Amino acid sequence: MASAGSGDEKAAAAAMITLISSDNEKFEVTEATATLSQTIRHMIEDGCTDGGVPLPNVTSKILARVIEYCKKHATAAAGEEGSSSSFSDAAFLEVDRAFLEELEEFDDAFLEVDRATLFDLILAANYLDIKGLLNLTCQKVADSVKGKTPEQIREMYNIVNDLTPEEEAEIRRETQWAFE
Amino acid sequence: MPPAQSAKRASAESPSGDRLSALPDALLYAVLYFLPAPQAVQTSVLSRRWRHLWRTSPCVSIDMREFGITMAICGKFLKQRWRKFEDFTTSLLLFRSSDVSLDKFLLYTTPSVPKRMLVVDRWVRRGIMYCPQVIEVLIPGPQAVAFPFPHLGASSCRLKRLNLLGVCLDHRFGEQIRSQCPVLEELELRKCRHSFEEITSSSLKRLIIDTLVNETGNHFVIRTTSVVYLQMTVSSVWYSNGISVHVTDSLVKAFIHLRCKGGTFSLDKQRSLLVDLCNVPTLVLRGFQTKAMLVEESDKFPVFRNMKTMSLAECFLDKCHLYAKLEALGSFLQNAPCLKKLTLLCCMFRTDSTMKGQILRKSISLPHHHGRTFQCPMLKSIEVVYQADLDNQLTELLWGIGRILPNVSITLTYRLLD
Repeated sequence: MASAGSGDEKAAAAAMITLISSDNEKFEVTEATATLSQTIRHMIEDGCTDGGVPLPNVTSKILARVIEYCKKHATAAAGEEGSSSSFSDAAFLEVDRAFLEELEEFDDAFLEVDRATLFDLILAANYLDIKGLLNLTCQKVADSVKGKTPEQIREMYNIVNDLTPEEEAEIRRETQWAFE
Repeated sequence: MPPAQSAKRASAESPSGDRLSALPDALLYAVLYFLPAPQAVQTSVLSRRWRHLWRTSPCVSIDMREFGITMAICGKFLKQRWRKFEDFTTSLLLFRSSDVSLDKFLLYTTPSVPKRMLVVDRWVRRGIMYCPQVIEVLIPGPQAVAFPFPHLGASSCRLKRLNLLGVCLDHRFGEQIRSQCPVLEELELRKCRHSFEEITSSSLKRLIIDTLVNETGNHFVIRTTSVVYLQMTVSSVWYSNGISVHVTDSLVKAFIHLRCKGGTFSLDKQRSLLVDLCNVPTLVLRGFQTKAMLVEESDKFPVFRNMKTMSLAECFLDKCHLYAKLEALGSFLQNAPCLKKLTLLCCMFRTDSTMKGQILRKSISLPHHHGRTFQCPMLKSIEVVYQADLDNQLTELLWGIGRILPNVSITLTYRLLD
């Protein structure tokens, strides 16, 4: 599977796409890497990528990280069977497990960023429509608040509680079935 | 003033502001999706921005494990926890906004007594009413408790993915899939009982059927003209009258596991499955027998013209001489002119764990004049994966492969597979 992936990359090597960040930095990437973004895929299909793709919502710092993610995951796109790992025949399905593990390690390391960068990545993944990256980053946020009380979450993310005590009490009564 | 705007302004003013609440609704829904369901509801007290978010979230994911219910607990604890779980789930489905249709409806639960089955039935019906694009109803546990999956009705027109475990599907289910699910792309049925005899779909791209119980016992037919990935684990006890698979060149990979528990498929049933799949580029077979794969001159066996990769797992385990098995393998490979890579996982001989350490055949002979050689021009490498050896059979196997296919290199890999 890995070898098939690198073969595809070779085939697409001729087609390079230039991405231009909001601060005017240019990034050359293969079409296989760029098309992990549905937004860019559609632009390529419409034939409007000549002269580069301007991405006014993404800074060079974030774009570099997004490209790093796409490069790693472009080769993996073919092997999506790995998803149902609970399946009893998983060991025999000839999914390249070493590669999947490597990918998981990459993702974990990739998410070792400060909170501001994490939010920038979420917005970039949303704008560029990269489903895998969006899920990865949103899950990271969810994991960070998992098991925390509302008070702890407010403190973590500087959420200002603009509810009056009466309103808050009312909401808690409305949803007491979720607080037990 | 909409709360989203005020939140956005707050973050623009100070970079250390509340960037979480400043995210658009769609992204907050994505975050809520990854939270346990009770906590997703609890976010309603965070601030005004969050107050109604959970109600309009397009995903409902309900999991008894979030309430500490597992297969292992019973008695008083189970009763208490189930009461909380039931109260929560019923309230969630009651109080979520009924104007917003669902993208995903996911339910994981084991209703261990009939009364709870009725409750789960109501939840599933309620979920289906929201016309989800993805339905996942997983009911793990003993097969004796069969949950009859309700009819999809009009909601099926939006359905893209259906994933069911441990439910019971009546004879009308097949008809629904055929005529009422125009955009269904993924169907995964595991450990379900079914009384329909055919899966027909022109939209399905991915089909997984795993360890189903065919209650009619009749011949089963799969007719999928766009399927890309097909995965089947079937046992001859329930499909003794065979399975036909009608696919097109859209199929890229097929995995077929014939389970041996309680008898094996007859050779012609095994062969007809292979014939049905003769155009697939990647084929993984588990549990096929020697004679099923033997291609003789007189056979009307089709040429596997597109096959590039093949893996055989626990195949050729029937009682035959090793060289007869190798001849069958060779004849099959000769019939696959474009095959590039072959993997044999635990094939050709059984390793009985009770025999461990007892070597009966202390010396073996490796004859140089045995058998014919076969041509498989593109095949350059064979990987032999083994978990254990018995009586030096592994050495004999490697030697045998080397003799019948002189132009390939062989890799031997030790891997635990279970």
